[in-house]
Amino acid sequence: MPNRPLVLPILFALLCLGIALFPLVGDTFYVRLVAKIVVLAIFAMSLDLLVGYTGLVTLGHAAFSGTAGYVTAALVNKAGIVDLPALLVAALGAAGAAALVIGWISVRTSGIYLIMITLALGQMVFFFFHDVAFWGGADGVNLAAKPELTMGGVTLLDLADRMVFYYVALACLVLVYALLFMVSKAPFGQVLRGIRINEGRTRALGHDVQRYKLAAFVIAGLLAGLAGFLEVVRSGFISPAHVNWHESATVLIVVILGGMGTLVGPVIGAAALVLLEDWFANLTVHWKLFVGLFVIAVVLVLPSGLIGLAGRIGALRWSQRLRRPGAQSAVSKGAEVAREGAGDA
Amino acid sequence: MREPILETRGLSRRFGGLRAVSAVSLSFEAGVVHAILGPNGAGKTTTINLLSGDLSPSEGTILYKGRDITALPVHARVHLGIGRSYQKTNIFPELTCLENCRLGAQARLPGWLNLVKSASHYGEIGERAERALALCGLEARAGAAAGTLSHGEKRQLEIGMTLATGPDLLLLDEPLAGMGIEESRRVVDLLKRLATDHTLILIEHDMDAVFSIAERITVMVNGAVLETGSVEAVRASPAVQAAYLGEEHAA
Ligand SMILES: Nc1ncnc2c1ncn2[C@@H]1O[C@H](COP(=O)(O)OP(=O)(O)OP(=O)(O)O)[C@@H](O)[C@H]1O
Ligand SMILES: [Mg+2]
Repeated sequence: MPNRPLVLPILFALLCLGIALFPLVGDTFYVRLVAKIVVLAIFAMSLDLLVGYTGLVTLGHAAFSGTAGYVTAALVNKAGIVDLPALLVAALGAAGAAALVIGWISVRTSGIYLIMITLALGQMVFFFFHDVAFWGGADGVNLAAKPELTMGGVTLLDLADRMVFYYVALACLVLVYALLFMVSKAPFGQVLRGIRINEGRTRALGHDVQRYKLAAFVIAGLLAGLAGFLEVVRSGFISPAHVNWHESATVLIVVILGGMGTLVGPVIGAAALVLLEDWFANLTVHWKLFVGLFVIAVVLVLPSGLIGLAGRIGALRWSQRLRRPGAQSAVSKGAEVAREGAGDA
Repeated sequence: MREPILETRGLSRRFGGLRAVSAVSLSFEAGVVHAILGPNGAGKTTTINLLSGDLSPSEGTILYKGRDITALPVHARVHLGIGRSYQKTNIFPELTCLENCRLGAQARLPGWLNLVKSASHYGEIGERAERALALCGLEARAGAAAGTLSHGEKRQLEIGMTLATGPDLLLLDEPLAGMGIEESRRVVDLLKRLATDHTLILIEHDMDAVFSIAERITVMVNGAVLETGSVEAVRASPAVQAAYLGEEHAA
């Protein structure tokens, strides 16, 4: 339906515009915080392809970002490589390979077993980086230098510069969004949606669902790798904690908090989580408790995530168009509007 | 006898101790409407599941156009031209009727990793989906969410989605189940139209419908084939009359 309102892409564009202009007004501390949000948003968007679009709930996504981060750190620290394209290829390649292996094993299962197996495999990756001395041990390692893009002796991009990093990360956010948006509209994404709604029937319509799930895993893993690369460059540090299941759980919470299957939801979720953590951490030492309470409150009040707020506003405007026989609840209407710009062709 | 499009040899399926399908050897001719009858629990749906690949057999082989497809998964059989519909409506409730059909139509795209071009820009998908929707009589409901259709319309969509995959052989599991008289008549007309250029294997409890469409009939009881042959032969079979058809349909 070409004339459907593109609520979500417009919302995303506005968010990006805000992020792009923010350094003009925000102070350094908050600019750093927004950079953190942007990287977490990319990470969460990559997971949204699995959780929100394909209906595959996983708990091992940090294995992919963490692998990319460690490979980047090793190449910079041990081999002295700072060339941006080379590091990117290596980091994404490693993350993609990890996703291929973990995905190949995981797509044979579903539901609670998929959660368990991705958790188990993710923890194996965690222990690999934790226990093998080469990677720097339990305390983690600092990144000795930041990547840069040079051409013919001229440095085009130096990620050591905070502002350069900021806009490179924002460009990656836009790129990842555009990529996932495109994929979701393409026949490939339509099959993923079919798998989420009714896997058996999707198979019976001639689609090799196992293969689609594996491909979704690899795409999500590659993009998580990009997030992992950006994170190690941003913070200049990587430790086993970045690969631990807590990290996988956090990114899953970001996706659910913001709104699954919408791509914009994860951006909003990332912003909400980072800002809340910062806010509560200033107020109390028990900030994790309050962040947790907030997440619970959102999940209870807004089952389709924070994006559901936008959805509800949208639902008011388009309620006429959405009113169908077998009336849905206001909440699911909101969810539907929220999905519109993302999942449906 | 015309050449068989599908053959089974000693096809069996056990569920634990239960033999749901037991040594079924049948030959389905190309271009013929072949009905499978039998009381509840006779193993009809299980047989269709074996033919479609939804279940794998405990024993036996399946030949499609002379090729052994016993080990092929469901999606691969769809690509060979085997399509099925379900007894229990199996659709995508939150998608529109057209989108339901588009997902079937997409199965015939060359390749599977189509990541770039929007699905709505594939003319062939839209055309095939719209044709299937028109065939099953839901043209006017193209934009309606499948979950909001009436029961009869859902049954029509069930067939339409299958048609969109471009099958040569249709496995239809009780397409008339739960339909009103008027809806039934429409679907029977549809089946007659489909019969002109498809092979149909049809499970149906509605005897009048079966006798008006089918050319050959197989009667199953307790997982085994009781009788198979032309409509007249099966109707006249004393074993069938005793076991299943009852007095009402006795000649
Ligand atoms: N997945 C399964 N697990 C265990 N038993 C099953 C399974 N599927 C079918 N059965 C059993 O196999 C037998 C045949 O079932 P089937 O569904 O093939 O019958 P049917 O002829 O289609 O009946 P109906 O007319 O009621 O649809 C039944 O006894 C049923 O309970
Ligand atoms: Mg049945």
